[in-house]
Amino acid sequence: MNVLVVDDSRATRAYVRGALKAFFHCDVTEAGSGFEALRALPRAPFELVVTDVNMPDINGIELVRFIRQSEKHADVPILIISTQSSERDQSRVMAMGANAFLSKPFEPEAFVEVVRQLVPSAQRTKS
Amino acid sequence: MGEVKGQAGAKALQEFLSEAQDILEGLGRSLMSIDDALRRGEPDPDVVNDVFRGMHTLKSLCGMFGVEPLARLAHLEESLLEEIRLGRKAWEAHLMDLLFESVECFLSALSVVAEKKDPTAADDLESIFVLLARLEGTSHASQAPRPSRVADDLAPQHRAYEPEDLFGLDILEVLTEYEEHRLRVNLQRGMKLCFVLMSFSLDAIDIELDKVKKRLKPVGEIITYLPSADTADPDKLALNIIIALHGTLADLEEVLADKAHVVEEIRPRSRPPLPPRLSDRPEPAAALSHDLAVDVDTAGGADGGLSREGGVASLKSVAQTVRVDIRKLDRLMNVVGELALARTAIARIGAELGAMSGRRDLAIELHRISGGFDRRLGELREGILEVRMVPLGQMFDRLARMVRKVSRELGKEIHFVMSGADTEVDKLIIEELSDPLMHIIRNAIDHGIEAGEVRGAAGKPSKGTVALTAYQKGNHVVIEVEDDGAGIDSRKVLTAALNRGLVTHEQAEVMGDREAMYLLFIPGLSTSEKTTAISGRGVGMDVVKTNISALGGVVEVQSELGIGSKFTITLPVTLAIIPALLVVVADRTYAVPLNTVAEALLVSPSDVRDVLGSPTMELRGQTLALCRLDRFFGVDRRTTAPNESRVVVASLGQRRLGLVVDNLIGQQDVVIKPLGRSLSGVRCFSGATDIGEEQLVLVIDTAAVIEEAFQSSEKLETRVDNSEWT
Amino acid sequence: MSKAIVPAVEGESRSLRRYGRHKEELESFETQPSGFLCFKMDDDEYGIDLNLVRQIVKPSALTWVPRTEPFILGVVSIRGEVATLIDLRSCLRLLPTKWPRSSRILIVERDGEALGLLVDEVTQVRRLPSSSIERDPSLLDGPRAEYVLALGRTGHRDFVVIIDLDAVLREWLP
Repeated sequence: MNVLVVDDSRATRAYVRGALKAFFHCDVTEAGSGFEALRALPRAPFELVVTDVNMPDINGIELVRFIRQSEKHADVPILIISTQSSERDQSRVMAMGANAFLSKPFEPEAFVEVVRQLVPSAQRTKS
Repeated sequence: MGEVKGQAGAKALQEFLSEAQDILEGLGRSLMSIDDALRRGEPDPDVVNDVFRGMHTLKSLCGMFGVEPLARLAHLEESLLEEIRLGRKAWEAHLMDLLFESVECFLSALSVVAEKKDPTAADDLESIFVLLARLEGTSHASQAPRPSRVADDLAPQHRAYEPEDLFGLDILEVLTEYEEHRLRVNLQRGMKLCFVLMSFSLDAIDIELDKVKKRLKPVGEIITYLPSADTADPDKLALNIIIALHGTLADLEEVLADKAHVVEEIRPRSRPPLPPRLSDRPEPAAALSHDLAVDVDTAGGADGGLSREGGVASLKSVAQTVRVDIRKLDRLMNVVGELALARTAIARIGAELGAMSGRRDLAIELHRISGGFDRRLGELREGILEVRMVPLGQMFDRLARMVRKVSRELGKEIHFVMSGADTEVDKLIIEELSDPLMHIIRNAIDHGIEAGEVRGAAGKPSKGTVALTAYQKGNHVVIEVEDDGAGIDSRKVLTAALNRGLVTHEQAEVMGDREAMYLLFIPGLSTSEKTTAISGRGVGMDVVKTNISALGGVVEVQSELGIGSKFTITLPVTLAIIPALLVVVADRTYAVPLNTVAEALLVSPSDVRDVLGSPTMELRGQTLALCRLDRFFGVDRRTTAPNESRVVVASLGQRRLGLVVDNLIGQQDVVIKPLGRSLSGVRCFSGATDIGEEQLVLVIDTAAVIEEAFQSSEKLETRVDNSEWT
Repeated sequence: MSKAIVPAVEGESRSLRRYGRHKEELESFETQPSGFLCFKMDDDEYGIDLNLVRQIVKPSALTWVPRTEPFILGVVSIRGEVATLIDLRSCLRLLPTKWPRSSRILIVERDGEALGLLVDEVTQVRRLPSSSIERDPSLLDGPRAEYVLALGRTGHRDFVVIIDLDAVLREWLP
């Protein structure tokens, strides 16, 4: 499974990568900004995009819209990881076509559970 | 399932700590800049947003990595900042204090976590709970959300545009709450809105956009960037930038003149305009943009304009720099040290080869090669030292925060001027330097700068100035702390020293002003008549001096009564710090580099056997040659053999030698300073180190001692080959 | 906001005064070519070019260096630098004595290296007009003539022996 993780916090990316790697056979591409995400998107077919909302320059809502409008990834599951501070932002990003919302901070277990629901075909590691 | 945290654990935790540190440093800078801007008007919304985002990230990081109390603290502060950035709450002085203190609190709590490698290690830290309690008090006391200040400023009859008047759902839907808020604020101020459509190549968008942002900054506020795929070229990305113009359309065209772009003014779609003050440049805006310029300038004292473009800077740093654990560099440096030893051996073999007849050609070749090897090794060493260099800026930021805090606590207004933040020194020096500098600056504010009334009476500006200046001078870095306070009375210093019995009357009589001033640095002297919480903490200038000496530096003081004082710290740019074992030989202390020490043993005389006149002992089935250092140094004053000896087993490569010493003192990190050229003939010492009170200790060059010991007993074949014996 | 609005720029007060009378004094000496720092050993007064002396310090904790010649007394820490301390008395082949309380270390620089010269007592800085400097000291008995640069007359019968420090150090040090 190819996963794109977009967050401007490198420790958050490391955390998400760690959780993904522990439970799934997957390749993780990290993007530290919306631009890096846009650069990464054409390069691989992603089976899952995990993104933050509050980022500099291009915010997560715009990123979701962009992805949904693209030919290649129009149907990719998008998991939003953000804080629940703004309900309004949460509802907007969902309206824009994101598939799930997980509020930070979260436990790896909760994260993995959501991923499993979004990508039922994801191959799990033995543990 | 805690194992996931464990697995992601060690490395991710490191990542977390280093990012948290970066965020906190950024927060500190941004808060300083906001604090500064608030004195004149309004802070830059971008900077405020940076602070919010920093706290936001901290909150989720602390939560995910299990630092619960900090996560709670960050959560409360994030909520506060959210209210502020959305204009629902005003900046208040006590909030500012809380935030500054939180930054310190986070830093110290995280350093505990880092030290213990345990996210829960800081859970009981009292300062966190104190802050939490205060924050909870604050949120209860907070007034009901009120409309933003800007709205208050406008006369009621002028109804401003709402975002809905200008944009359709297609755009409104993708704006975050904050972006929408900024849009509204700018509309209320009567700013003109524009689309700027530009196309960027995907590969270079970060850098190109960074340039565009810098240019746009003076003419307006960027609300957001709407990306859309460029239909013509898949490698390009079209960005529709929504900007609130503070200047005119002509200004905008001018800054973008050399870049392909389309500007479109956004006009209200439905309702007819209600045009009060819309077309001309309103006052608040002018004041605001002016403030920004000054703002950046002051912040620039510590660190260019980085604070504002934090997001972009961090993006670029991802691409262009790597973070290296300093211990990795230390290991590399050790390898360089071992290579240097190998080179010495090669040179020795070359010399022996040269002495053999018929082998001169090989000897010359070897000499040439080892010369080249030596030069490259030197380059490698310098390269590693260079990597260790970091700018003083980080520490300056911390000092600026401290100055702010101390000046508030003491009720003294301080103008803190910093320059030379980009001066680079060894990372270790920065770590060790910060406490002494804090102490000096604290002293300057507490004891140097007079109270406002006193200054007024003396004809000085009521606001005291403390200047922190750093610059490089040859191989040294000079850091000066200068104040325009009362100065230090050398006679008072002398009297204090006399009263405490630190000098005799006889000494005092012949002492000049300068000499008396230097008494400040001897232990046990404090001139302040009263002890304050700020600087009377039992650590005095003597500690400052000891710390600086340990770094191979010096601290000097100059002062003139009524005019001010100046402390000058001179430090080497790089440090050769090594852990060493301090030993005693014939009543004198020497240091043995720890990386050459395999173990230390207690040996009784019966264990020692003489083999062909040289002492040896058995160590786990192997023969260990011994070298009595007192004899080696030519100071054998012992008449009878001691009951027991201490043996330090020195090992280099395959060679081991037991150094017989009188006593072991312990382990200590030492800074090696070279011996002068006049002692170049003495081969068994690699330098000297200052272990305090001006006392030098010689550092033993283990390689040279082993080399010499084995040369003189080569005939004994005492080389120990581990593989043969085990 | 309870904060006072204060003027933004106060940078002018940055130009604080610089201090360091002592250093200025020394610097002004540097422009005088015929200044000599004079010191006493036994009953004779010696002088060296003031420009050579970086600092005069009281003897502090001395660290003896094994396997060195007797004229090398050890190393001392001077302003964070490791300086080799040299017994000037033995370099000038004067008889050894106990160090008097008045002993001082003259810090000089040689090829970038800080050297300390131990002398019995620093007397004064003398400025000698060139007319009173005798360039031909061949008549002198006492210290070896090759170490002597000149004799400076300071009175009817009194003179200082001006030492050619470079020649001394050249002979004793590598």
